[in-house]
Amino acid sequence: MGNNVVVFDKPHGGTPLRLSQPVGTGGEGAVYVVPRPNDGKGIAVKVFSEKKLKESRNFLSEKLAVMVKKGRKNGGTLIRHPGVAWPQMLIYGDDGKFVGYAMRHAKGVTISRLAHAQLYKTHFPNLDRVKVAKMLVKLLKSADDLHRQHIRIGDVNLNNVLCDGDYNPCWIDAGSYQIGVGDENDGPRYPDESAEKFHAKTKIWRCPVGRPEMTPPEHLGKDYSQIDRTYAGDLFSLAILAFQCMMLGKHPYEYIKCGSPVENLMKGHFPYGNSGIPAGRTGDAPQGPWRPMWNHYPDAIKQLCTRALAKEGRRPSARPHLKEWIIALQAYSQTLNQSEKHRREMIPQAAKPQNLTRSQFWGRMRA
Amino acid sequence: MLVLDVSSSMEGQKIAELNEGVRQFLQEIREDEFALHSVELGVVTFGGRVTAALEFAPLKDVVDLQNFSAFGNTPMGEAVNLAIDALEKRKNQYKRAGVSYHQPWLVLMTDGMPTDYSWNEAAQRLRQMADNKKAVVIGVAIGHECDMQTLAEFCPADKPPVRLSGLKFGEFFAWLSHSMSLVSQSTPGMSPDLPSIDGWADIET
Repeated sequence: MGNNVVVFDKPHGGTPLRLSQPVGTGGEGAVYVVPRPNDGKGIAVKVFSEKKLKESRNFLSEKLAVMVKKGRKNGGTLIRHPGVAWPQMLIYGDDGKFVGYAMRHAKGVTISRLAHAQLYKTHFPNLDRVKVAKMLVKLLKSADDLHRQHIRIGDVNLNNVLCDGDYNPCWIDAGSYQIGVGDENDGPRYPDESAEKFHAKTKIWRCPVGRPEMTPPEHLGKDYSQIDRTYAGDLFSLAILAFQCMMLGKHPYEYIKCGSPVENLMKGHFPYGNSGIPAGRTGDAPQGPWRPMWNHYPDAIKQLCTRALAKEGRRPSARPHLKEWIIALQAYSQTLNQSEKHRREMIPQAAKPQNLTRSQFWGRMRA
Repeated sequence: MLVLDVSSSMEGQKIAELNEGVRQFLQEIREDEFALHSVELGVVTFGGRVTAALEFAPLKDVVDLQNFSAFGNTPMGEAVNLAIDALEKRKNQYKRAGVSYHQPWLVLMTDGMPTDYSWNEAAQRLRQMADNKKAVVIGVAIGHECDMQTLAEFCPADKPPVRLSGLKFGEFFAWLSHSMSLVSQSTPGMSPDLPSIDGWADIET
């Protein structure tokens, strides 16, 4: 789709929406911002590429129709959610065929610019640990809300979240999420993986895209369009995303000396934290600012990362739930706000303050 | 790392288009903020003698390059050796500093065949690097005088050289800057899907 293409909000006789410069383009299509027909407010319109439509127009139009319908349920919880750009209506070409969908126009830039050792200085110049923690709390609460609505995000990555200058994150690319019909009674949200079965009457529209370095080990190497995403799978990918945000974009399985990120992910080879590989051995945490950056996080957060990303995290049911992440991150931002003792900057220069034992304390007093 | 043939056979339109292509490449790649902060560029030319036209440097420190002029014979082996040495040196610096990096790319463009004696050795060295996934090697042949078989010896078996369609230097460098921007947004150690080469590749050969 080039510039000045006109699309419609109904298959026939709809209001014309004139598309000009896209605000974003990707492998699947392009996103434009246009005034909404009824009130002139800006909405974002995603128009799939010709190629994508040729491959899967029916799948997409069916899935998006289900999403729009689901979004209006419960008084429009999903459509009105400030942390998710949920599909609001389907969009058609002048031949009346489905070409895309419209959603709220979320402000900001992708968090691949926040979780980036250089670009945060341009886009989030006042970034610090409190702001990262608070942003992540909001982001994970929104993810939890999606899970509560029986949605699996699937393709979790730094390009699928926008964040504004006040650190309000918003999930985008909702069209790729896995959604089902008839799965409202599929039991508790975090059952054991083996028990996470779908209701016999459930029809699922899968999430056909993903990135290997963000994919839980149990789904790795499989065709994304053939697997049922799980809550536990999202917990794994979200832990990687949280780590990247806290570590200025460093991928948790990215090493200097051994293995590709995907090989390390398969093995649960997570080099940070107490259970990690000692410094100096093959596969230890990378040098440079990463070690102090990591060391200044509190144990509660380090443990969550370890439980999700080290060996035990290969067992889906062992991964920490979103609630645990939210509580730990909230506690961390409160501690930082209340006490000057802890460093707020992303890359602290000073050593981490230690909790002294009684004898250490008196030893120092005497000295 | 660009390793470019500027020997006398490049005289005329070829060198003019190459200069324009490199200029446009620098401009386009600088417009991408991810690439600007993570790509490093080096240029080695060979024509009569081997020159480090641009010492390896972060893109944001690179000033515009002077135009190349065509001259002399084709010491391609020596040029490839110099380029590999520069890459290895940079990699070792990264390793010591604990900086993770993407596999380096080495683009080798020529319209002829090497005239130096030691080219076999350099070809083997480069091919081995590519086979061991230590570098991505892209061999580009310019015009029909280029000896594809010789150029192929510098390239990995699974990624043979490609002949440039006509003088589509512009299309090639646009593809290269687009690829670099995708690579710089990906996780080090992962290879993103690259755009199609149909825009510049001569598919008939």
